[in-house]
Amino acid sequence: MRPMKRVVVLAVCLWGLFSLGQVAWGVGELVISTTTSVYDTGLLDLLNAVFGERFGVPVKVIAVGTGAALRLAREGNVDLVLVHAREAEDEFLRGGWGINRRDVMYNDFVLVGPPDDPAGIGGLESVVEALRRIAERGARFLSRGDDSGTHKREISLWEVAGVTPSAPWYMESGKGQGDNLVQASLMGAYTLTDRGTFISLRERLELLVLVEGPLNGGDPLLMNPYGVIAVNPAVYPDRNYVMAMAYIGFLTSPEGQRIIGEFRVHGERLFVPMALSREPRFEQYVPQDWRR
Amino acid sequence: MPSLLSAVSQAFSMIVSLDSYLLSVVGVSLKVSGMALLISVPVSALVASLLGLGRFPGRNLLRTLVNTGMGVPSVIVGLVVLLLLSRSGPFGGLGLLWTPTAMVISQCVLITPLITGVMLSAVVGVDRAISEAAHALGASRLQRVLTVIREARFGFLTAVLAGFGRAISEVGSVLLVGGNIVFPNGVSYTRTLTTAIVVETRKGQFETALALGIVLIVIVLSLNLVASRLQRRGTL
Amino acid sequence: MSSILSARGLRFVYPGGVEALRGVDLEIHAGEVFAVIGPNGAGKTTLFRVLNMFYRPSAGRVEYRFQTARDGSELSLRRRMAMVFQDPVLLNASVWENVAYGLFLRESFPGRLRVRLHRLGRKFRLSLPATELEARVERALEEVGLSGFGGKHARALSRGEAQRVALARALAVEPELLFLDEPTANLDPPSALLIEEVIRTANRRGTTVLLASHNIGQVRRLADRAALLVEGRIVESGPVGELFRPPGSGFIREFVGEELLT
Repeated sequence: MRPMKRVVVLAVCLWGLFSLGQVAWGVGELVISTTTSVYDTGLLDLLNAVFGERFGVPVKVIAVGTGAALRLAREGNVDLVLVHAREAEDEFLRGGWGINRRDVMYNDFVLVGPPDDPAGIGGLESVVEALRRIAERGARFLSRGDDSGTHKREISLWEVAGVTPSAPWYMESGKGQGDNLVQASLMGAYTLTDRGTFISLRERLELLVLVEGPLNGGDPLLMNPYGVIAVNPAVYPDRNYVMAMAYIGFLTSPEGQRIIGEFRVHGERLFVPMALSREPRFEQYVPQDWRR
Repeated sequence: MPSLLSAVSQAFSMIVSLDSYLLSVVGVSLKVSGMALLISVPVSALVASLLGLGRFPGRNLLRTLVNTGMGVPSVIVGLVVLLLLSRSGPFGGLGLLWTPTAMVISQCVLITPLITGVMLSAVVGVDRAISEAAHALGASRLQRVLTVIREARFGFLTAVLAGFGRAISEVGSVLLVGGNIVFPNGVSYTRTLTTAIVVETRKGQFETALALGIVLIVIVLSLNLVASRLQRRGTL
Repeated sequence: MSSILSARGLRFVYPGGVEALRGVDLEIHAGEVFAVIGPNGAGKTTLFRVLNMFYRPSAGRVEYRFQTARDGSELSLRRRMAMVFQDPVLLNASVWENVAYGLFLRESFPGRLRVRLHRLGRKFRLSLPATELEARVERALEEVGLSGFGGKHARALSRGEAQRVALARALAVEPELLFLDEPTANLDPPSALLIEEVIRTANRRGTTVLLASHNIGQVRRLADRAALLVEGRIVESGPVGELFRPPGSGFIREFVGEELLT
């Protein structure tokens, strides 16, 4: 019995070690901040599992709102940031907080609303036109109101529509995408949402897609591109820049892009990879208004 | 919308099958709150004894601080600790952010005033005559204090349970300073029962959220049962 | 007749300004029963608190002459005294714990540990010798007629039993000077008489007793000498027989009432 006991003890110890999750042989760890909407789809768990195995480094993802994700990166609390808010990303770059930005993928937003469609926007091709109608008819609209990527897009769309949304038909939930959708469903309100979250929650909601995004041939104004940026090692030398660059390399590699393109939720495609291109797309590396 | 009943039954099957995600999340919750308790209790006992039995300048100020501290929302505590531990903050060099240690720190800050407050009322609730009787039987100053503390022992235990209850069911502070991190293989690093509920609800995984909620409620319920049994024993 | 305690010119002023003792002189003889009588608010309790060093007097001094005090330190002097209050004030614990309390205070850490371990061991049916401390607890319980009550919890006692436990607690430490502040004030007559009997026995053993009481009958039964305290001053004092013999002084008549004088 005694040799058997030793084997058991050893097995338990090894199991304990491994069950800590990471047998890390690489350099340090990688901490990424990103938005809840992309994290909740589960895509990152998939990508990070492959990356972690390849590079032997535990990947820790902090999923918060867009504003918080960039703030964390700005203060040097993460190595890498992945968000979908180009204006904010540009500001981040201009401040020198981040470098080596790359486009990674895009998904889209859709305008959803109650099945009875009180504002009559179903099937419209222009989201701006739909918003105008909602404002005209005073139909209930629920906004994220939380400075997230979705919220910022929504604001800019109202601007293009030339409408200043206001009470009583316009409300802000201040919540994350999922909670916002649930509330909109309960209230019978229109709302702007990213496709991914809507698909995962669709069964529980009484909402329909009324204005489509580019993934289904809809309004290009609803395109939602994601960018990844490494935290500038000149500002925060203690961060794991090398692994951040390895991650960017992985994300934008043919393999990473393939994983992104093949990712399905409830059988539907959520993201379109956009990193690979024969043509130089310099605009992805610098703020959009950069001119030399 | 699937019925509540089916959600609950799915939740139970998750619990019974000892789902590893569930287990790791419970583990983090217990580890973090347990550690916070281990640190907070002796500190609180000391402060409560000083406040209840001592006489020193600033005593009333300290008492007010304790009472105020009891009512601070957990999010605020988390925010302050986050700013302190941030790389750009005063203690950034320690690299404690996003670790269970940071969570322990913020929970300590959160529950110490509560535990102190309950212990203080236990100490103050001890009949003053006990202190005099101790003196009359030959107790030194230290022995008098210890006697009062021993008389307040059930109240102290209630304080400990109250502190643990607050710690294990709070969301705000551990969410901010821990980062709610789970490794890609599903093992939790800084995700607790409560922050897991936040994520799962957000993702629409209501069954999982419910399962976690049930486990949390069971833990808090058992605590309260123990506490009420102690209350009954504790009255003279 | 040696003096065990002498107090000169005791004054005590409470922080609010109330002057509770206005110059009290006392001489207590070793081995006697000395009663302090007086109306409510006269200062009896304050006087006892000053004498057992719970309060420091605003003026005046107290001298103790104990035979077995270890040194002249305050703590060692205090440990030759013990007090029983009007309310039992027991700890939230068993009778045994309560009676042993004073003994534990005086015991070293190894000693306390030893007692605890012996008691624990006996719970698990190990046969361990009884310690000195346990023997003293048993004796004290016997003296107040509560042998076998050790395991009972304090909250399960009647008021009379509780006060007897408080008395046992005080006697267990074998004090040279025993303070009793209205010990039988709220007790039924049988319990009161029982306690008086115990006091008598303890006094016969050599314990000096300082008794504050409203109960003139009790004072006449137990005390050798007495002093009447009125508004912080001793207005009459002397052997009990003389004090209460008619016609008695004006103070005594006023306080006691005509009928109680034989």
